[in-house]
Amino acid sequence: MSTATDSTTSPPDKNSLTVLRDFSDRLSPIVVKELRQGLRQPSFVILFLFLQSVLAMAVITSLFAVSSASLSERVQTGNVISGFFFGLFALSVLIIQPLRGLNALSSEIKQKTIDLLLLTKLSAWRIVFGKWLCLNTQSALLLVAILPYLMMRYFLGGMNILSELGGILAMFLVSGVFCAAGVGLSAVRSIILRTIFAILGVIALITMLQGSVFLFAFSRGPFISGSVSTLMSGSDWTLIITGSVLLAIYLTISFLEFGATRIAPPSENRSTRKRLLALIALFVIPTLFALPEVDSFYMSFIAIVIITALALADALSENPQHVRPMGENSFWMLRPGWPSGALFGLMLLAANIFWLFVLFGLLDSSRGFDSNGQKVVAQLVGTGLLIVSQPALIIALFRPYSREPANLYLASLLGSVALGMVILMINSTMRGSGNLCDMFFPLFPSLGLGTLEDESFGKAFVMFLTAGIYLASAAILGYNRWKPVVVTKSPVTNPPA
Amino acid sequence: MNTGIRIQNLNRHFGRLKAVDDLSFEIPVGQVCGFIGANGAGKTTTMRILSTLDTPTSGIAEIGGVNVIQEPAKVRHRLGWMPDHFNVYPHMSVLEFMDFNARALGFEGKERQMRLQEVMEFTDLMTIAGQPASKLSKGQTQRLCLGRALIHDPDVLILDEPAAGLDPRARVEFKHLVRLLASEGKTLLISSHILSELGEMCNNLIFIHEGRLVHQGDANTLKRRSKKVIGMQYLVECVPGKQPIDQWCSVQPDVEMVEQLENGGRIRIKGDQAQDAAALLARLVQDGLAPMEFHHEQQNLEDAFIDMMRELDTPIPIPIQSGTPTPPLPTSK
Repeated sequence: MSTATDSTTSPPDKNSLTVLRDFSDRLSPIVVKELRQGLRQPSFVILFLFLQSVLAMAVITSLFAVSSASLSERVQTGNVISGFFFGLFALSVLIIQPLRGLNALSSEIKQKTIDLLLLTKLSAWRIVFGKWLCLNTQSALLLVAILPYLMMRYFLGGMNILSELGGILAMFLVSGVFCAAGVGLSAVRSIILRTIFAILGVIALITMLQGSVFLFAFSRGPFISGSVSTLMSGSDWTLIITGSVLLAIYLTISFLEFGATRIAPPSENRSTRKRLLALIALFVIPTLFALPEVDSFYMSFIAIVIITALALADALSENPQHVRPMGENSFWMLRPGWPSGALFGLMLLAANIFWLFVLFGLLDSSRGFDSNGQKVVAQLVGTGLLIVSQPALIIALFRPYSREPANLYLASLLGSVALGMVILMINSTMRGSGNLCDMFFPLFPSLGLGTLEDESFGKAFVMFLTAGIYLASAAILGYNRWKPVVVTKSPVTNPPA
Repeated sequence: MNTGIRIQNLNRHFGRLKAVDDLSFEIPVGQVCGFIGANGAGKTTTMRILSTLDTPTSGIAEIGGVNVIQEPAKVRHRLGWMPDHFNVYPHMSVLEFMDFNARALGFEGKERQMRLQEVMEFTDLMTIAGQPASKLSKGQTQRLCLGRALIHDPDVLILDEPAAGLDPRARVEFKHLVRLLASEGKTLLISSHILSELGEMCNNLIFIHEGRLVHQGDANTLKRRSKKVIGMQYLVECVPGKQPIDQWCSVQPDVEMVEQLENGGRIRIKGDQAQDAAALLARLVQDGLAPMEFHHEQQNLEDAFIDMMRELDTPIPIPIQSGTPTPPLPTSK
C-alpha cells in the first residue's frame, strides 16, 4: 500500500509505531477497549479513590479507638467495621456499578459506533458480554482494593472468614445479575425509560435488602445461624444453591441477550437460542427448588414467574423487521420478531399451566401448601402472564410498524401497571371493594393483584385465557401486517478467494 | 467481468414506506462509483444492506459475489464501511482506537503491529498516533475512519458522505486517498452531495430517486441528460469611450449578455463550434471591445442533478451542504 504523503516529510521518530502491550491478545477485544476506557472514566476513578480514602480513614480511626480496649470491645468494633466495609462494597457493586452499566450500549448506539463494532468479527453477544465482564472486572478491582483493609480488621478478632467470603461471593453473584440488567436495559433507546427502570431497580433492591435474599451478604451467620443452617443441610442445600446459582446465571444471560438482540444486525438470529434456553430453564430451575423436602417450593413459583416474564418481555419487544414466513428453516415460534414472540408466548403459557398442574400435584398439604395457597399462586402466575402479554397487543394494534418496539413495550408495561395501581388505590377506598378490579383487570392486569384474597381458580382461569387471547391476537395481527421477508438466494457461484 | 457489487431487484420496505424499490445495478471490480440521490432517496438504506447492517425485504445484494444475507460474515471480511457520521471513543488515543479495531478484526501479535503500521502510514495517522481520538479535527477524524475501514484490507469500500464537512485541503487529501485505493484495484461506492467531486473521482455514477434507479453512467452521460443551454462564455472588458457591451450584444445574433460588470461584462454565444468562437472574437476586437478571458462553458453535475430532479417532477432539494462553496466552473484559458 503506498503512502498518502511523502514519508520523507514525516519526523523520523514518528515512522515506527509504538507497540501496545497493555493487554494480552487472549483477552476479548471488547474487554480491552472497555478496560482502556473504563479505568480512565471519572466515574470509576472517583469511586475507587472515594472507597480507598473512606476505608483508610475508618481503619485508622478504629485502630486508635481500640488500642487500649478489651477483647470483647475489639470484636464489637471489628464487627462494626465489617458491616461498614460490606455496606460500602455493596453500595458500589450492587448500585453504582449496575447504574454505570445503564450507559454501556446506549452510548454506542447514540454515537453510532455500534455499527462499526458489528462489522468486525465481534458478534452482538460478545459485545454485550464484554461490557458486562468489564463492569465485573472493575467490581473485582474494587474488592481487591478493600481486601487489605479487611486484613487489618482481622487483627481486631472475631472475624469469620468463611462467612464473610460467602457474603462477598453472594454479593458478586447478585451484582453480576444487576450489572447484566443494567447492560441489557442500556440497549433501550429511551433515556426516560432507562431512568425509570433504574429508579425502580434501586427501590426494589432496597426492599430486597430487608429480605432474606441478602442475608448472605449482610448477615455474618448465614451458615451458622439456626433457621438458615436448617435450610442448608445435605442434598437440599445442594439443590437450592444449585437452583439459585442457575437462576442467577439464567437471569444474567437473559438480560445480556435482551441487549444483544436489540443491537444485533438483522442477519443475526438471536431468538431461537435464547427462547430454547428459556424453555429449558423453565423446566430445570423450578424442579431444583421443588425437590427439597423443605419450604423452598415457593421459590419454584417465583422462578417460573421470573423466567416466564423475562423471556416473554424479551420476545414480545423484538424488532419485527425481519418476520420470516412460517415454517422457514426453523420452528416458526423460535424465529426473530415480536409476532413469532407472541406465538412463543402461547407456548410459555402452556408450559406455565403444565407446571402449575405438576407442582400442585406434587406439593400436597403435608408440605404446607393447601388449596388456598394453590389458588393464590395460580392467580399470581396468571396476573404476571397477563401483565407481560398485554403490551404485545398494544404494539400490534397501535404501532405495528414501529422499529423500536422495546420502547413501546416497556412504556406500555409501566403505564398499565401504574394505572392499575392507581385504580387499586381508588378501589381500596370504595365500599364494595373488588368491583373495579373485576371490571378492569383485563385492561389493567396489575389489578389482578388486588383480587388475590378472592381465592378462586375461576379467576386464574380467566387470567390465563385473557393472556392467551392477547398473545394470539398479537400474533395474528403481527403476521398480517408484516410482509414476510423473502430471502432470495444467489445463484451458486465460486467467489474469488 | 468480475463484479465488485451487485444488486438485483432489491426492495426494502418499512411498513408501507418503500425505502428501496426494485433497485438493480452492478459495479465491476476496481471501479469507483458515485451514489447520488436527494436526502431520503434510499442511498444509506442501500449501503446499510450492502454492509450487512440491514436486510432487504426481497432481492439480491452481493459483495464480491457473496450474498449479504446468506453469508454476512464473509461479506464483512471483504468490506470496508465508512459511515456518514463517525464518532470515536473518549479516553482513547488514535493508536489505541486502531489497535482495538485491529483486535476486533482478528489481527494478533506482530501481524497486528505490521498491519497497523501500514494502514496508519497510508492514511497519514502516524504523526497523531498518540493524540486523543476524540480531539481530532474533522479531516483527521475522516482519515482515522478510513484507516479503520482499511485495516483488514477489504476488496470493496463503501463510503457514505466521506467528504462532508471537510475543509478544501482535507478534501484534496481525501480525493488523493481515493485515487490511491482505486489504483490498487479496490471497488469503491461513494455517496456524496458534493457532486463535482464525485465527477472527478468516479468512473461511474448511479442516481437513485425514491428508492429507484433513474440513471447509471459516467459523469458525461449524466450531464448530457441536462437540458441546460451551454455554449462559449467570454469575459469582455470594454475600452472607455467605445460602445457599451450591452448595446453591442443587442445587435449581435446568437449572443446574450450574462452579467454586466463595472468595466465590461460577461457574454455568452450559443453554439458549441470553434469557428463560432473565432468569428465572435474577431468581431469583438474589430469593434474595440477587448476580450480579457474566454472559456468553454460546461454543464456541471449540480445542474444535471437539479435538471434530473425537475424531470422527476419533484421539489428541488439543495444538493450542496450548507457552508460548502459552489465549485468553480472548470476553465480552459
